[in-house]
Amino acid sequence: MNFYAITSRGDLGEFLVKLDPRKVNVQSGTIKHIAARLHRGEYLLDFGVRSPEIGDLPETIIVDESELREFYAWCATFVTSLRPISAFTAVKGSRAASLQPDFLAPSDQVIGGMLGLVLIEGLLQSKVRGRVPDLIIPTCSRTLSAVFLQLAMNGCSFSDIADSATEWFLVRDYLGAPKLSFDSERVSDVWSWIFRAIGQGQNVDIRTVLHYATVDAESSRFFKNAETLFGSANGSLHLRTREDQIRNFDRMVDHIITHGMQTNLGVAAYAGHYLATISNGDFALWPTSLDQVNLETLPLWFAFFCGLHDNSNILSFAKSSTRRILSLIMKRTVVDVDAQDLLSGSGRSANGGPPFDFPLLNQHELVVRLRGPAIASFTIRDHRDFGSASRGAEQSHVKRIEQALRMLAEIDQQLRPIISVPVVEKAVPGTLFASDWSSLQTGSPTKKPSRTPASKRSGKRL
Amino acid sequence: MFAENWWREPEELDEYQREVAALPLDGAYLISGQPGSGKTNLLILRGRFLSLAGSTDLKVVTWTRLIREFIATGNSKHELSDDQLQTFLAWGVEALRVIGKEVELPENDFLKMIEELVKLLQADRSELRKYQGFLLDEVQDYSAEMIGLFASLSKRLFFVGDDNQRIYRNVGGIKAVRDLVNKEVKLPFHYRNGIRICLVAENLLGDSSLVNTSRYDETRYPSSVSLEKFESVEKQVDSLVTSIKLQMRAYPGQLIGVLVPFRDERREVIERLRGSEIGKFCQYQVRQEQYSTFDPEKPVVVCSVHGAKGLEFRAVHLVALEGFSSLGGNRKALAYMAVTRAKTSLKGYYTGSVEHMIAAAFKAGLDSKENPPVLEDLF
Repeated sequence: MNFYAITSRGDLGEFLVKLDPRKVNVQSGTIKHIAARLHRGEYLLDFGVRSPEIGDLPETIIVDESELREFYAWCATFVTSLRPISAFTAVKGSRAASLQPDFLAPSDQVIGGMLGLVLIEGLLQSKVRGRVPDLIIPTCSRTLSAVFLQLAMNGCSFSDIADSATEWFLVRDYLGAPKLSFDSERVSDVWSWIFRAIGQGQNVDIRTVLHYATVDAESSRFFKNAETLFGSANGSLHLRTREDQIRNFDRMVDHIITHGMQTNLGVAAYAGHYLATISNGDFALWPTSLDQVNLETLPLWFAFFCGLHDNSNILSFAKSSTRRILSLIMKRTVVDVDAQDLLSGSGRSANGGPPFDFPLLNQHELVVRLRGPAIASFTIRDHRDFGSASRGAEQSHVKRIEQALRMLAEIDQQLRPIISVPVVEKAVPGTLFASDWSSLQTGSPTKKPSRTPASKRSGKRL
Repeated sequence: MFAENWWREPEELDEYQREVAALPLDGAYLISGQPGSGKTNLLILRGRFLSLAGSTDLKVVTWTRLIREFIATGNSKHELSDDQLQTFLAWGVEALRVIGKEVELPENDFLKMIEELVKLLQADRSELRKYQGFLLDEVQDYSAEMIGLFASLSKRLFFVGDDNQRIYRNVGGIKAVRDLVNKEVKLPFHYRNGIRICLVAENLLGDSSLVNTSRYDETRYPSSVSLEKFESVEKQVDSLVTSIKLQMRAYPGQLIGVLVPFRDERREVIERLRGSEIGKFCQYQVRQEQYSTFDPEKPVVVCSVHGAKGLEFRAVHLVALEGFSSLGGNRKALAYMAVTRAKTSLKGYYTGSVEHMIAAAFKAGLDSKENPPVLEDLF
């Protein structure tokens, strides 16, 4: 890895303008060690695994924890446009960075599981809301799923991801995003289980998830007898036709409902895993998971385990479905926050300064920007609150706002690789497929679609 | 709905299919192979290839209207315009109209229409305009005379076919093609039919070429075959409705075929299906109902056995098999063609009795031992 530390804000400004890494001091060591020694006025630029070239931007800028808020204000005031930071570079506090465990890349399966959850959450909303034209996905760009996926793709530690889960719920409330139409408490539990299981290592399976189930006597009996009653999801099911397997699944669901276990999270996880195994990782069975309305968390579990499956087709499914979901999201989602108002609350007004733009999602000419009525009212309300709140509460508020801003920046990045998934109608004219026809003619091997995150595949992010 | 029927990425092609995709621009080529070997996919790919290479004045000619509509679902990139995809009848009538000849063909007899049209085309052969290319599907059902006609109108020719699937009485088409082409590429593998369906087809064919050359993923979709007797056609339909309801859940977004050999039974089946729980998911691709473009919202396709030529379904229901023995022509090939439309599930229904050839073939699929355990089953 290559890390570049610079020592003054002036250098940072110059760097961001000229984007010349030769202007900075090179330091070696792990990011957590350097971050731990960071002082006010010092900035650590993390280029990840790349050797930076002129024109590159860092993946992350790490700032002394106490200076984080000031840093945002400074950027808003002095950097001509915050586009580089908002779109390409994450900002992180030094304390969080120093606590970060060494790089632990998430497995493809975990990424697949995350993506499954992104999809199913959107699909759930579609299902719940009924007609597609009325679909209002609660800003999937603000969802936990998207954030997690991005974090996972960027190689964040699992504990970071788990922390983000908590943050997401706060931010969601904060931004006034509509609640999921099913019991959000249960969704929180699902996430909690999944992340605790993920935290145990790279190999997440039904055992590690069920390990965290608060298993009562009834569900214990269920787990013990399920294989006998309905067949093993891993073994003999392979000998049966898909139709037989669906019949068995129906019997399992009937059994769960008859015995009043539909709210038991562990039982729902088992059923979701069972259906994902039946589907052999084929996400197309998701409608079946939605049919079982009494098992509200079943679709989430199905999506997650489907993504974990060795044969998961979740990425190919995402090519078609995520695109549809995201296109709907993009038409609806305008995240408007008046950043200048926000920052003026800290005494560092950016009057006359550049807008605090989050430029992306421009496929539908949508600009997610920190300006406008929706969240401006939120910031105004917050400022009013600040007036009467204690300093501690104010800091807490500001911290949460900053977290929200950082998350939005991260999401801004996250959606880019998903949106840019090649689809047929976007294929370059002159090609038979989305890829190059010449590779067919020469018979040269063509690369299979990689599950490696886009951020890892490309040498440059710009 | 049709995503599984057509290739979307180059990685989906095997080495033999890649060889076809890389054939030179000029010349005449024959691609032969078993059902599900990728012939129709290659036909579309070749169409795209010629089109992108500048041969815009080309025709993809199909034998029936239904396969024409099916191919249109694979033409998602629209390199081929609607009028480039034509049935032989539509193309022939158009070709004559271009030179000022209005055509009147005998109605209600498909083969007589073809016969009459071929005579007219041959009579005016020298006046017909030339084309930059012809791509012909199901070439085994053409006559040598028809192949000669196409060869006289273009130098860029691309044929796909399988002699085992010749269901019409025309003969000599594939031989004429072999005499004509620069190269024949034989596709050795097929990907459509599950092992039990292969066994039924092999029994009909009297050889063992399908199981050994199958690259079907039996683990993903274990295949099944059944043949059941019912008191009446109504009972047959009731049973298939129950089965299709489950299949629509097991194979969401995939095509399910209901193939009925005879017109009277077909009418009865259609009426009963219309009033059933799955009525709104059915599309009726039969002449009496007027053929139409495939409706992606309706996964259940009801058609004649002949009409199913060139199509493929995740599950096939062969209804009213009791009448199969009354069908004319090459019934063995017709049965072979019909059963090989099924990828995963093949169900036969009959009332009274079914001819021995059919019963024996289904029995071969039914009697096969359980699929061998896969590795996961050992742990």
